[in-house]
Amino acid sequence: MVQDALALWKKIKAKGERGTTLYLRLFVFFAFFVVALVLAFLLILNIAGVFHIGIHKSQAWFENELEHLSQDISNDYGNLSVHGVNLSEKISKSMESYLKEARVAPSGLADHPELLEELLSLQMPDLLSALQNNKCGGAFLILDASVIPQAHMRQRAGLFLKRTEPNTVGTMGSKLHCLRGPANIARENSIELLGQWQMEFTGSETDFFSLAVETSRKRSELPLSRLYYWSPRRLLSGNSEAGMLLSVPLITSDGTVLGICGFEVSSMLFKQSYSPDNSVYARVFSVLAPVKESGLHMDGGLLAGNSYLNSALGGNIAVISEEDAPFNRYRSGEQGDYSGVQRTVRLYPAGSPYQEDIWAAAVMAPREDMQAAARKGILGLQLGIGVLCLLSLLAAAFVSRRYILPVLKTLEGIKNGSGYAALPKTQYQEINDLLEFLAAQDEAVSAALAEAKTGKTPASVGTERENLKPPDLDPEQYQRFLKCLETLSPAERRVFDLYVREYRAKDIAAELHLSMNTVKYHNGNIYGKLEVGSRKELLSYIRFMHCQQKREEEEHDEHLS
Amino acid sequence: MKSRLKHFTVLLVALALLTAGCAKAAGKSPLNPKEPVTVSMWHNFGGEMQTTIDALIDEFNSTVGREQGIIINVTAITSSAELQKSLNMIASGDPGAPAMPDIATAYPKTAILFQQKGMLANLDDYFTEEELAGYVPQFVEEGRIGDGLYVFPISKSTEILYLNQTLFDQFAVENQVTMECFSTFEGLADAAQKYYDWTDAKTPDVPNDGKAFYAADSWVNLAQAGMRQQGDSLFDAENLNLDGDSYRRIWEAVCPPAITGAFAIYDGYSSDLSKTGDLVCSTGSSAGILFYGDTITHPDGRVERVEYSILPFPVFEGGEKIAIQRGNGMMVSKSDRTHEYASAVFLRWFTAPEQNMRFIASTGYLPVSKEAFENRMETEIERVEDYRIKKMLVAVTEMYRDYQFFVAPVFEGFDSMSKAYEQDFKQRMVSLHEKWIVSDGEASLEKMTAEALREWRGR
Repeated sequence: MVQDALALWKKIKAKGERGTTLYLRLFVFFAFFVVALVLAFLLILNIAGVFHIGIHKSQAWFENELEHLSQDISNDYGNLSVHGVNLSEKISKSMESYLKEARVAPSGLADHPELLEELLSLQMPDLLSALQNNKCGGAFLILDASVIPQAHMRQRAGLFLKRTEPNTVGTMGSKLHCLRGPANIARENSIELLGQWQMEFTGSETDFFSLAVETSRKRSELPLSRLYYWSPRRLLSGNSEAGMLLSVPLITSDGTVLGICGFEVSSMLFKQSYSPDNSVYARVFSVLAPVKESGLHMDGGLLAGNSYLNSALGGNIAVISEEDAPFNRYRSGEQGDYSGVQRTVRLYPAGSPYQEDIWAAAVMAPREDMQAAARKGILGLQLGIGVLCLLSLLAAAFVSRRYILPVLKTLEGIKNGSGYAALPKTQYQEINDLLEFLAAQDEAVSAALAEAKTGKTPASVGTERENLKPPDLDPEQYQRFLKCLETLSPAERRVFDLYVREYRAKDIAAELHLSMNTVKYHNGNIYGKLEVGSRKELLSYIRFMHCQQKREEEEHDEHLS
Repeated sequence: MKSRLKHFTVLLVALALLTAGCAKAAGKSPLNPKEPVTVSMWHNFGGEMQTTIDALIDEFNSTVGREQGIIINVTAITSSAELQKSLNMIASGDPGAPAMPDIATAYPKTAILFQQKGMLANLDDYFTEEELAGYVPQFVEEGRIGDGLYVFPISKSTEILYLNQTLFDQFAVENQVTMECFSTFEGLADAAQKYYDWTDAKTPDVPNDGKAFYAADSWVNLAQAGMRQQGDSLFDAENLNLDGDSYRRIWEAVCPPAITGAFAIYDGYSSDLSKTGDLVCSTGSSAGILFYGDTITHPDGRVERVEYSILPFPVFEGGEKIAIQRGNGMMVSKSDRTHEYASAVFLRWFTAPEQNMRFIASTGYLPVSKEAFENRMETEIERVEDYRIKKMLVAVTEMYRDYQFFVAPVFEGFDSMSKAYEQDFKQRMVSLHEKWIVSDGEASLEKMTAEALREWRGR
């Protein structure tokens, strides 16, 4: 293989020593010019940021969606928090009043399980009203007590009403189901039990309860508006739908924490409320998730977008990196690779014991979709430039060929042994001049050879030439020639007359005090006006003129004698 | 130069032909993986079924959907009744009605409302005869309305008897009642009255507080089945047929225990009453099995472990073993070819034997493909992990061997007529029960039953 390469290199080098063809040189020149133009164009486009227009557009779109998402989440969650606090105040007051009538201290509720069903039943109107009037998937109330004595660490009495409806959130005509609570209370209010209904909450599913209640007890100096807590996404046992739960402590006037109440933002509600517009990016989705060191904790957050993402993404932590600036790059497990933007969302007010919990809203899409979108805009441009480049190169090849062809034909003619004077004129003055020059040289050499052969001077050769048979010209052609003579300008006529007197171009220039270029210029005009293609043809006509002249003189002499 | 130009031209023409050929070949499917189409879906597979359906949809979106450019987006999951209510709103064009989804689970009685308004895609246009031959024929036929297939079979069920075996055993021992009572409605009614009296006697100081023994999720389905079992039909040319002896027998079996309280008249699903031990048995959809747990919760919070038995649908004495075939399908809204085609691709995949059996194993519905239904059931039942579903599938498989099945009629007024029947029947029974309680047992049950029938027939 090395030997073959060496042989090829030698061949190329040998070829190069002979020089490159005119056509190739010209083509390369044109091609270089085209490529330089295209590169300059690309540089200008790059400086103008045209190649990044796809990314900028994507960025603007994502930022816009994120702006709306974070705004909506802030507003909605803020409203729910406010209404949750209101609900807690109402229920706390109602419960305190009931216990007062029953002569039971709030702190002694756990010791009176017989009161629980009635106590809960009395809260139904407030709970139902709150559920109907708020953008939530459910409302609940959990007490630190159980109908089973001494079981209030393992079980807790309460109510959990869920809204199930088929479409975007509306508060009218929604169907309610009971997930937790005494069956009688549900039946009295014509609420069906869900398939996963249990009468009481279990301790293990209510860790958010413990956190909210313990914190309220420890931070009893804080107002209620600072004590609400948003749990990360969780699934109550037996429930099929997860959600975030807002827990607001139920506190009586003596500071006893009776339990919690609040709202649920279910997965379906979140999806219905915050799904981004997927007409531009089909697989775009929104996220609200807690932020920890390693990134977005998707297993604690909610997603809104195409459902297929939920199970794949929901359980994993998305790691944030900034590789894809201006976007963040999120990785989730082995297959999840997303690009997007995020922004911190404040769920808690200043002074809240939970304000260290950072939540973020994000809008993201599969990375491959983002890259495809960025490429899409440029692809057309690249294709266009590519086609333009190709066409330009083809044009360069075509023009070079056309430019060179006459020259090549002439050179071919020379190679084939045609005399310089017999070769057709080209469109290039320099070539024509060269051919004329060569033709004149050719004649001079022929004359010198003839002189050397016969010992006669050129003049005598010229006389002998005169005595040769006149050229065979069509009389009509000759008459046209004579007529065309009249169209010569005075300067051109002077040059022509000298040609008639067998002057060469050099001699004419000296005689008339003209430059060679001027003589060449007049030659071109003479040939054109007299409709001759070459000097040879002109000389033929001139010889014919001489012959005609001589004949006329001879006839005149005969007449006189 | 000329030859080069010729070569270039030939190359261009070849490229153009190739592109055109590819476009033509791709023209059969309007889908484009690079521009996926989003298909919105409503379904009623909530609760414990939701995990399975979510996983199946995720799988579709990640595999076939990704390859062909389809994304199934579930925008609503709710009970069958609520879904039908919203769909009815859409069909009627009510103000505030939600937007029609691309695919929705629906019964034929709801689908007909859409079909008549030209709002549904004819699925015959997207499935070949050979493909449809792979499904259980009667399931496919149930979805035909007029000239086409508008409800694609997804999940089928029948009605069975759910029995709290634990509670029944406690009662049966003391009252010489055997399991035989469940083979006929008359036997069931008799057992119900005994149960009511037995539980009432437990609180002698409190009269008329006996517990209900039985409830039906659908009284109209019970009446339809009862009429068919006797060789008759509840509907006669789109009108209720209440005048004959067949209906009288049904009335005389059902009305007295409803008046006394032995039969519960309840607005919700019977499983609600079962959860609290307020019912011993009920008839309802075989797909409702997941609503019956293995515990009941007493009002004092005590949780008691119980065992349920699944029994075939009772038959009226002397009648044929006939039960209703239930279950909804999926209808595809008429939109554009791309969405309709994508919906059909999903339906084809979802009901393929492998996916269908996975769906069945965790929901309690019956498979719809012939291969699954006829060849794979026994093997698949062994693999089912949920013992409740396993029990139910065994019982239903036996029913399909011994019973005949009928499909509810499909005509425009059927849905409203059956809803009115259900509502009116319940109201009357509740009212009669209240009268009975007030009369303190002095009124004649037979007289009340006969009078009620007279009024019922004249409504």
